[in-house]
Amino acid sequence: MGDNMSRPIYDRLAKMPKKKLDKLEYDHQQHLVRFMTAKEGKAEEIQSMEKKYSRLKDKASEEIKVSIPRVLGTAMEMRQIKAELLISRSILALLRSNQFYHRFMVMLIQDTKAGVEYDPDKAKNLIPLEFSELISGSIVSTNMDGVLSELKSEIDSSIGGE
Amino acid sequence: MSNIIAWFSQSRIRSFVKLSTKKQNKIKTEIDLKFADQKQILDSRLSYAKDSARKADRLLSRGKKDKAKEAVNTFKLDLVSSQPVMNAYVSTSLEKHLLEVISMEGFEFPDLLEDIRKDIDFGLFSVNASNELDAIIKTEVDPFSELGIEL
Repeated sequence: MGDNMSRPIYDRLAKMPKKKLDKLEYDHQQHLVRFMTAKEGKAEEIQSMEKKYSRLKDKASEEIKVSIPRVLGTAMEMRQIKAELLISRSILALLRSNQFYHRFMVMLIQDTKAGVEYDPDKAKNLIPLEFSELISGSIVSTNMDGVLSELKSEIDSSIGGE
Repeated sequence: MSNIIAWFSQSRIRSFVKLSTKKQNKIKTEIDLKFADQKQILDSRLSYAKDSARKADRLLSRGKKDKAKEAVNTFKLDLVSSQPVMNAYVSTSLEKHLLEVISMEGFEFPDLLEDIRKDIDFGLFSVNASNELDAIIKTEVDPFSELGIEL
């Protein structure tokens, strides 16, 4: 599978003079750093939203003990943050895919320069390292379905004894 | 070109890459304005809903059950009316952020990745058409039943 896509790239690289390969490697390296930095920024943004969401969930768990109408306002805020989280996680996946692409290109170019034999499984083997959490879980199903049911179970457990 | 990731296969999105910086900026400015308008409307609907919830809480604590019920009904109305705005906002926000990433030097659509692995999750970008996006966002429309609250 990986062979179909990356073989032509490798063949194209193999025909290039070293000077051109050096230039190409430099360009991909620059793009790699750019996307890596953007990805890290987005990941921090997500982390901060997750903290905010968690704080609101705690607040809702307390509010439900006092008054049901009070918790509804908090649930509205949670709903908005969850939507923002979905958007940000989708963007993060795109930034990550670009980081992967440039990292992969840098590796292919370096392999070509070093005279390393073409390995058709290289891309496939690299992906789990870069995308482990995106393969194992679905951004949408993991984070959308449970928005309020998570809260409900938290509330259920917190008022369960009453 | 693969059609698996709905958003990335749209010709409008694909052709954006080929536009001049000037034209790209013009489109981005239009999206930014649309985004700002939708955000303002959404914030105001959410603020109304929160006010209604607070009012219901206040009335309930004073023992005015009927008036509290009215305030909760207003909240429900605010909640339902915020849903279409929320859907539109998510869609515009997604497009706004996508165009920002596409404009980055060195951007590549994830075609190579898609061909190698079919199970990479691109979240909302994989959602086809706006009605599917609406359906996903709508899963949260009724916090009452989700919370197991009977009014």
